[in-house]
Amino acid sequence: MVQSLALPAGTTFPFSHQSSSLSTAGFRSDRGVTFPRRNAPRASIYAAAVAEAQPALERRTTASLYDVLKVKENASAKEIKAAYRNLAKLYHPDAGSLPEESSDGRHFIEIHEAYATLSDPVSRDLYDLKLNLSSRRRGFGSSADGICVNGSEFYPTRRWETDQCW
Amino acid sequence: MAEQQAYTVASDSETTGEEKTSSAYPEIAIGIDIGTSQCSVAVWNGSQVELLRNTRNRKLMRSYVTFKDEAPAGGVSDELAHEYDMLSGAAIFNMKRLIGRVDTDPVVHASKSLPFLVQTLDIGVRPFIAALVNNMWRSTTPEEVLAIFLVELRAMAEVKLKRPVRNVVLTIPVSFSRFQLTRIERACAMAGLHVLRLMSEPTAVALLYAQQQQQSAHENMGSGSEKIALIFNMGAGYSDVAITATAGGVSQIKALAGSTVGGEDLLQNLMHHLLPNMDDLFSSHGIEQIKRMGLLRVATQDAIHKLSSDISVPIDVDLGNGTKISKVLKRTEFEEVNKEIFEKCEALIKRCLQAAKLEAEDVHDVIIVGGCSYIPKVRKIVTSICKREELYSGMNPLEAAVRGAALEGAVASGISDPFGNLDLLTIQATPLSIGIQADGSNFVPIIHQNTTTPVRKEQIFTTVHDNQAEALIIVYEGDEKTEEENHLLGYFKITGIPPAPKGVPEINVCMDIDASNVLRVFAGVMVRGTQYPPTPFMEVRMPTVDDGHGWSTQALHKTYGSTLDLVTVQKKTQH
Repeated sequence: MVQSLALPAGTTFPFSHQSSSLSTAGFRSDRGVTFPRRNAPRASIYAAAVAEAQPALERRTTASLYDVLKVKENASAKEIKAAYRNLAKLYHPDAGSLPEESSDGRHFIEIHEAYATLSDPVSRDLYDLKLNLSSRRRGFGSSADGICVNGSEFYPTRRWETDQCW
Repeated sequence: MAEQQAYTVASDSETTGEEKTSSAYPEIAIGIDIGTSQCSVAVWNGSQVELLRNTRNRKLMRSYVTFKDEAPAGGVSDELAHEYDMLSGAAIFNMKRLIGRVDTDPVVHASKSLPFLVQTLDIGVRPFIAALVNNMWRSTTPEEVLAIFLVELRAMAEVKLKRPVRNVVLTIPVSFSRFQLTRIERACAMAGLHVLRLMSEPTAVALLYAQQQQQSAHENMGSGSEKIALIFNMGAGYSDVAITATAGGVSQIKALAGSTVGGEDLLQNLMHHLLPNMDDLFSSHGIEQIKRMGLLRVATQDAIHKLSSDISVPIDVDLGNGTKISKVLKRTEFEEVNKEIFEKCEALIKRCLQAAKLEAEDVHDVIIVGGCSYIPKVRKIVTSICKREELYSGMNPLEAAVRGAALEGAVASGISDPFGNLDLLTIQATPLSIGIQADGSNFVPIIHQNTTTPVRKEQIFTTVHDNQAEALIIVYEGDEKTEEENHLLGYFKITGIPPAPKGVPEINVCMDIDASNVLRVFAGVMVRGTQYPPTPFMEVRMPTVDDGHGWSTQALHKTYGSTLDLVTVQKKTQH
């Protein structure tokens, strides 16, 4: 009852969770809506073992964090910051300049995660390294999964996917 | 004021109607700053933020409600001077300090010297609060008092704006727990108001700062490079610090820190200093005693105000019954009496700088707001920590928060301004960590303090016993190591964990905070190599706790011990 009072009645939630999302896959695909490019079913179960999954980075697509922020890979720290702010103005749920389905809050989380990694010089170097390695080892797709960078905050160890990928 | 009669406080259980859904023009949410002692309302009027004035032409109204025979009256419309009301025991104030607290809370205990009744049983339930009406203690609740006050504010705003008012942006202290937020939301619902956004007071100030920076960047045709501001807000009830990075109208909150230290503490310490046996004298709450307590309070308050400009102030008050206070109080004496409070303020600012990973030299502007910002010692603390002579002078310390709230109200209502004055955005951060109890009685944060919102984080836990079929998820908010020192938000059980040796099952706990600051916790069992979990996942909107939750964790521990415990699977690498 407290909750129903607290509900911002009369406004739409930036995103709502469907009651149909009862299975794991459903639970995940409920995120799949928000991360449209995610290849949900297979990744979903296995993502479970990630100690602290960073959903934005799990995407098994060719988009790099640079693509998320729409900057070049040699962008300066200033350019990255400016790009983040510009995108935040478009995609933050409060900005409200986009139609409902595209401003569901998830894009902003993705953008922020990308910014968090690329704005820190150390984590950006690690990410760049990972990006290079993965494109060299595998000719296809720049999905970086499988390269273990232990202890890096943006890329937790994922043995199970290593097993699958090789 | 015939219209006013149409407003009544809705009952607790009634959800306010959703009558207004679509109109051609979006309703601009008004900004409300409910202070512990003063309150104000502001709204975007189409070209700028305007503070609304009450019938006595005042922009700042005292936050109190007087209970009388007929209807209670609040500080918005009441013609009586607050000071005289205070002596009668009929006025309830400081509700922002009392709201959503249980009777074991030190803040509630400190409120016992207020000139109305605050009774505690120290068993973790809500305190008993009452106003003196016709020589009887009439019970009320902080929510009810706040709702009565908000009804008056709403009526005033509707008369001024000549339109119905429903959507509001409220400012709240950084240190408020999520349970306290639900109490604020309930009070709003009782007053027929819908909370569009709750934003912490320094966050609102940060938004105003962002707008001012953007305007000056436009005027100077400057590049609008990033500016870092430290905002210190000290009101009667709470102190908050925020550090914001601003550029191009976007204000990103880098760190927040808050505590329950405020002007009320300064006042009470000084009252105790002037009358050391105060607590004994006032303990029985007789009519005469309340009057004396009120007299002492008013005299002490006046003295503190005068000490902002004078070096010393004479205090002369006759409390009756042979108790007289007659002395000259020096500013240094006041500062010495409140040494601890000022040290706490210092620590709070330092903690915030540390959390933002910044040095004092990195800060471009230092902003100090709130009622206590006039106290010379407070200004001195802030300037010395931030290593500068000058404080930012671009805003009125008493109006900054409500102006920021009004800006957020306009932005969140989807209003745009042709001159780009609303081309603004606040990227908020979580003031407190949120996590669960695991690894024994430890608090394991899942969403850390100062995380940018909206956010979604998850973590895997596992069982501590072989063939453990159930697990208890107890959700807390706070930043203390052990669970007991943090705020309880709720608890639920995960059932149907398939039989397995300890450490094998994977329990996924995911936490999600959306742009409206709603927290949802998802949890369930994952089984490797299968498509579906053995039992459905749980989705719980937090907080679920209600009043009197103070001892529910003890009850849980007593009933279940460690039988339903969890441990973290992998230590986090992220701070």
